[in-house]
Amino acid sequence: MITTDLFDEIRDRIGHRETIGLGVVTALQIRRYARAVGEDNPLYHDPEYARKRGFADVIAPPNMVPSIVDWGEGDVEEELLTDGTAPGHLLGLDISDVRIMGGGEEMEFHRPVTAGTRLTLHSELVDVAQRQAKTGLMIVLSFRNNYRDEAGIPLLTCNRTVLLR
Amino acid sequence: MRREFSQIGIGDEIEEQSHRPTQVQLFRYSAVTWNSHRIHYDRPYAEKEGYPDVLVQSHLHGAFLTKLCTDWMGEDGRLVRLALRVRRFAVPGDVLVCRGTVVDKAVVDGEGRVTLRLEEVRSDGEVCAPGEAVVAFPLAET
Repeated sequence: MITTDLFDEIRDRIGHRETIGLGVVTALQIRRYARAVGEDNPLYHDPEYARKRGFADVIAPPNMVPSIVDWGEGDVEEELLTDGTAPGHLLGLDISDVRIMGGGEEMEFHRPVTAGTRLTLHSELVDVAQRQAKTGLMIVLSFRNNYRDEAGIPLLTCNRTVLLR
Repeated sequence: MRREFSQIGIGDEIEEQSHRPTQVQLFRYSAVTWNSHRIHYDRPYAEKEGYPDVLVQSHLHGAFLTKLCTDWMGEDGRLVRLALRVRRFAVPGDVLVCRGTVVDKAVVDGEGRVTLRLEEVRSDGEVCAPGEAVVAFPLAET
């Protein structure tokens, strides 16, 4: 249930920043992602071709990185919520009785993500708003997620809207 | 395939692509993105939430629009920006047609930039995901 208390708690976290090490993007992960989507672009599958195009290895399809829900092994099954998602992955708040929905994404691609890149995510809660929907009160969160390589070079920015209801 | 900035005109329509997601595709997409949300693989659960079947992941809608742009732009293009919103759900068996139109052209920082208006349309005509993209091209040497 969305309450004004929850809204106030979230509003207090505007500007909250997190830095998370995501680990290394592997060539196999890229090839599997491309396969799942139905992408046959050799940039994602063929390291020789990618090298000829000036990359060190295969590169990831542009929207792959923000699509990965969990970069680690995930929680043990008993700890997942009824809907199968991980608990409390939103700003450390107890939101187990709230439905989380993606409300849209705006991605800026600064540089391609090459296989072998070690990624860091810098995530910031930039805004929060309340909206009255047919089904009741809704909270709209705006995050700015910056993905960088080991040297701190920005690779991708994802402005993501998340709806709670 | 190469595409020249000078040959692109406002109003041009880009070659459409269609996808017919299957349960296997949704499973593999959830697996590779480590997405354990039951709405994408557990039909009785999805029905309990009021949907006719498991749902296409919002990022898979995004992947279809990404592919539309990157296939169109060819070797010389660079996808700079992609924005999208998933407005309607889709389930396995739906045919999703991705379309795009050139709505703007400009030279920015010494490269050509093309703005595309995008949409992914469901079999019944409903727009599942509207979007917008910017693709950069090198300018021809003079």
